[in-house]
Amino acid sequence: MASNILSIGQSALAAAQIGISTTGNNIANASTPGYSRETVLQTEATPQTFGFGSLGNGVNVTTIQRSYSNFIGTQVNATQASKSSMDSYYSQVQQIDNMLGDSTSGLSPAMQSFFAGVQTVSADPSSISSRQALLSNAQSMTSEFQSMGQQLVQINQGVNTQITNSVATINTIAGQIAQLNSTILSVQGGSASGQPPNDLMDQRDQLITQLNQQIKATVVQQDNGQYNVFIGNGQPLVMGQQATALTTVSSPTNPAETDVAYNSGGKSIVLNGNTLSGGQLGGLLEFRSQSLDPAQNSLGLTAIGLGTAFNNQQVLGQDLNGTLGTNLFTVGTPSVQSSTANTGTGNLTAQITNVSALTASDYQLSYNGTNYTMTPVSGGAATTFATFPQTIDGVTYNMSGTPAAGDSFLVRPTANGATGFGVAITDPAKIAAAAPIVTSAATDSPVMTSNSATNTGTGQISAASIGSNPVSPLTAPVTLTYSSASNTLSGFPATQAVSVTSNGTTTTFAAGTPVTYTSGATISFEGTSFSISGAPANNDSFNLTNGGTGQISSGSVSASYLSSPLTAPLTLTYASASNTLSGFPSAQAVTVTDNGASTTYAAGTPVVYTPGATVSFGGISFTINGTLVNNDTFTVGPNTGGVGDNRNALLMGNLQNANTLFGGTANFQGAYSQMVSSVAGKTNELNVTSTAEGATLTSMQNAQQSVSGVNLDEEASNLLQYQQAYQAAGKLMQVASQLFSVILNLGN
Amino acid sequence: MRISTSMIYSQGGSQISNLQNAVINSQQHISADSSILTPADNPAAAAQVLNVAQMQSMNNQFATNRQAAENSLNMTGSALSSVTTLLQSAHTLVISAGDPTLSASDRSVLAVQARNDFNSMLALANATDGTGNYLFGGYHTATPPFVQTSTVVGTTTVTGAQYEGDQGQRQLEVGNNQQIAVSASGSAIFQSGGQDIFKTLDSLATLLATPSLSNAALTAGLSAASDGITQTLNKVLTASTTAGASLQQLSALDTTGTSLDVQYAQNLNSLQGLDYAKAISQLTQETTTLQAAQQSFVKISNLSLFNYIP
Repeated sequence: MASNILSIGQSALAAAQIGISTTGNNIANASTPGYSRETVLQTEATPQTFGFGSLGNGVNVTTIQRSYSNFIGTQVNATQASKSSMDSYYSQVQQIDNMLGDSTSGLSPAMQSFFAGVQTVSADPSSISSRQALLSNAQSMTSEFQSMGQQLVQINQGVNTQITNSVATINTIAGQIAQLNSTILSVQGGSASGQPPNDLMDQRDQLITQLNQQIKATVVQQDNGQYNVFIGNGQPLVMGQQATALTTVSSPTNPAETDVAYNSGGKSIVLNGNTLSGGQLGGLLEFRSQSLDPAQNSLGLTAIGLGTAFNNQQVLGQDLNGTLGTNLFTVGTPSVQSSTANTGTGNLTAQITNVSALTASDYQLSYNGTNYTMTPVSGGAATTFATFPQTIDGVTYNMSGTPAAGDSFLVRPTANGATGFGVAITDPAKIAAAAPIVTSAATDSPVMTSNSATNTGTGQISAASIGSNPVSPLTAPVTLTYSSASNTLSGFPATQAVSVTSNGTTTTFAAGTPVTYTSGATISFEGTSFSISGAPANNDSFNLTNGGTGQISSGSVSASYLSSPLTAPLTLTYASASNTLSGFPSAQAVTVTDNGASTTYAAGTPVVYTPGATVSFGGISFTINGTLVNNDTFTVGPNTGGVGDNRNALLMGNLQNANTLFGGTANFQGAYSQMVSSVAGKTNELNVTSTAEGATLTSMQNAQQSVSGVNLDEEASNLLQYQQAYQAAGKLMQVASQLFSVILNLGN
Repeated sequence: MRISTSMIYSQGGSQISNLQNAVINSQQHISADSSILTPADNPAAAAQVLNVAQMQSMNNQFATNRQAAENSLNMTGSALSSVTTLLQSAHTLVISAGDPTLSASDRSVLAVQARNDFNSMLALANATDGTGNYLFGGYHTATPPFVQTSTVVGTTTVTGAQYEGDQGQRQLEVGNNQQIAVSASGSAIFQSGGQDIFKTLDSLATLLATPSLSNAALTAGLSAASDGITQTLNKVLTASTTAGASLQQLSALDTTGTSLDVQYAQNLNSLQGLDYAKAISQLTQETTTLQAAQQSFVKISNLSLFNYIP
């Protein structure tokens, strides 16, 4: 009996010892990441059966169990993947957000200073110092664009490095999981029913959580207890004891960007970034495609838009040296990349032809052997076509060589816009502030005409000279009629006295009386002087009419002017009989646009005069207004010596507020604001969602901790419990020993 | 729910860290006096700030342009008023030359004066602004617009002036889509159509210098001179009136511009300005919460059953 008591005591002592050790281990690992609290599972030892019943045989420790919930673990990991992704996206996009900063520094004030510089030139176009200031402002503005563009390039390089690091971490973790799969299996004796290696299982689950910090991973537990791990669209990462190594490669269509790939049969296969979601890696890839590339493109679009619009105006102007303007800015060109997987010889080229139609998207061109399909990377309708050249969203494409079916190309129309933005001229005189043409009108002298159609005599009326005020305009046209009977002229204004001066002698005729005709004498009234000479016949008449009131606008030129600029002034002469203007260049057709309706006159033909209509030829446009009289002339000529001309500078200044981008809906500042608002919106959104996801993660982790975490108070109470159990077991053994002594001492 | 000991520490720590972030963020807003530190603080307002700032900057630029326009117009106006004075004195000369009691030598004195008037007129027509740009040359601001000519007709030398400028008028952007002409073409004022003040003054000087002159010829010549002067005077007055009207328009635009500036400043303030009272009370609340969190954390972390196990 006593030996039974002793063995019971011993089993109790052992169980209590195991309990104290387990509690001690729990206390020791209270702050070990991934540690699951362990408890001792003990059962009653098989009793001995006697006549009086079954007698207990002590206690058996069956196993040490870890408290771990797979269900909660899966939830924690999924939330962890999503939270890590947001955190990584957030910390990246914050860099851009910080770079954009506030409105008092950075790009926006630089653009405003640049346009202020344009206005200063327009206020004083011949001043070299104001021109120099404009060039300096242009330089600061392009530097600002370049520096921002460069920062985005650096952020991209940082993303590449982090992708590489993340992939390395994933590979390490995957290798460790595969290793643990193998060890756990062997420790458990090849089946899931063996004694669990709690520490190894904790480590493996902790590795799964760490893996989810890098990328969203799905775990499928096998019957033998091994974990199979999948990422992306079911791409296996760990299969039992085998881990697939991921690699990083330069993107086949964009060498500046690092992509994730895996090796299969000696070939590296690139994983589509869109499918690799979750975790730090997923966040980096999403940031790159959703925020970094668009930001780079938007910034580039603003730079290209500004540079191109300005250059287009600059080349239409004339510089201080009197020569036509040349580009003020160098503008970034589209980046075109053939996929490294291409097998054909096709070489795609892209040129920006319409900045207004540009978008901030990249484009993927693919060829199926018959047709080409151009797909905007950021979404939107694809365009399918069979031949080049092709213009899509403001970019004109051409293909040389022969592409093969399956070939693809990546076009980034505006990605280089910011980094490629520069100032092309250094000579301040080359700012084309002036317009290349000047116009003038010679129309305000009164006009004398003999009615040659009806006159039969030889009387001629001279050109008038203007004397006193008011002379022009005459209150009404005057027609003088000769009467041979009285040798007089009549028809003078009834209220005006007329003086006739001949050989120094002046005779004055009262208002309303006929005036005696003297050949060659100077006739003056109302300040207008003229003479009639010769021998008029009876009833011959002479007209005296106002000069025209014709005005010509200062004119403007379009790009087509540049191919045939004026070399000498052109004089347009009005013929009243046909109501036409003639004198246009003999080789150029003339278009007259009135209220939106255009009429084109063949080269060399007279052009019907329409007051207020826009007259255009050879890239020159102007309007003529007012009443014209016969032989009125207008001059359109090259602008020589017009150093004070600021017409082109005014047009350049107007670009600041002109909606030249996004199909005529945004000015440069507006396009930039859209980019700021989009980056800021995403940053703000991530701040909010990442905080919310953080709260979810915390509550998931709390649930996990509630199952698996160590509570020291609980362990303290367990410790006391096992301590007392141990003491009690010891006491039991002491009792057994004393009982044994009683028997031994019986004989004494 | 079971609470694990590490939860107490990790949550206590992260809560305190969040509160510290909030306190620092509030402090940064207060020290920067702005509700927008980075655009993410208020994306819509940040974009709007950029647009309003551009409008404000343009508005300021228009004010600068108006100043330049005002200077140019004042410069032109003052040159034109000198021209007016000169024309009026020439007119007085014409009237006094009509006095039949004057002798030929008396008239020759007046002839010298008329010749001087010609030279003064040429100088005024070639007036420059403060920076050496010619006022009346149209776009030709670097070279004198009027060049003296002299041609010999029979026995007399006729002196005149040839206009070498153009009919260009410099405009300045003085308001949103509002341009104003700030220069006048000299040809429109001094020589246009049949009117030529230089020819008039030259003829007058030549007439008065002629030793023997019939009364009729004198009267006719003086009448022509008077006509010519009056006509130019009218052109000058028209140009001065135009300049005056432009100056008035500028002053009206100045008023609008100033009130727009105030409006933009108010817009900017409402978009990115900081409500100090609110910000400081928020900071106070956050610091109080932080202190409470720190104190309670220390208290909770001190609670342990082990403290009572001997």
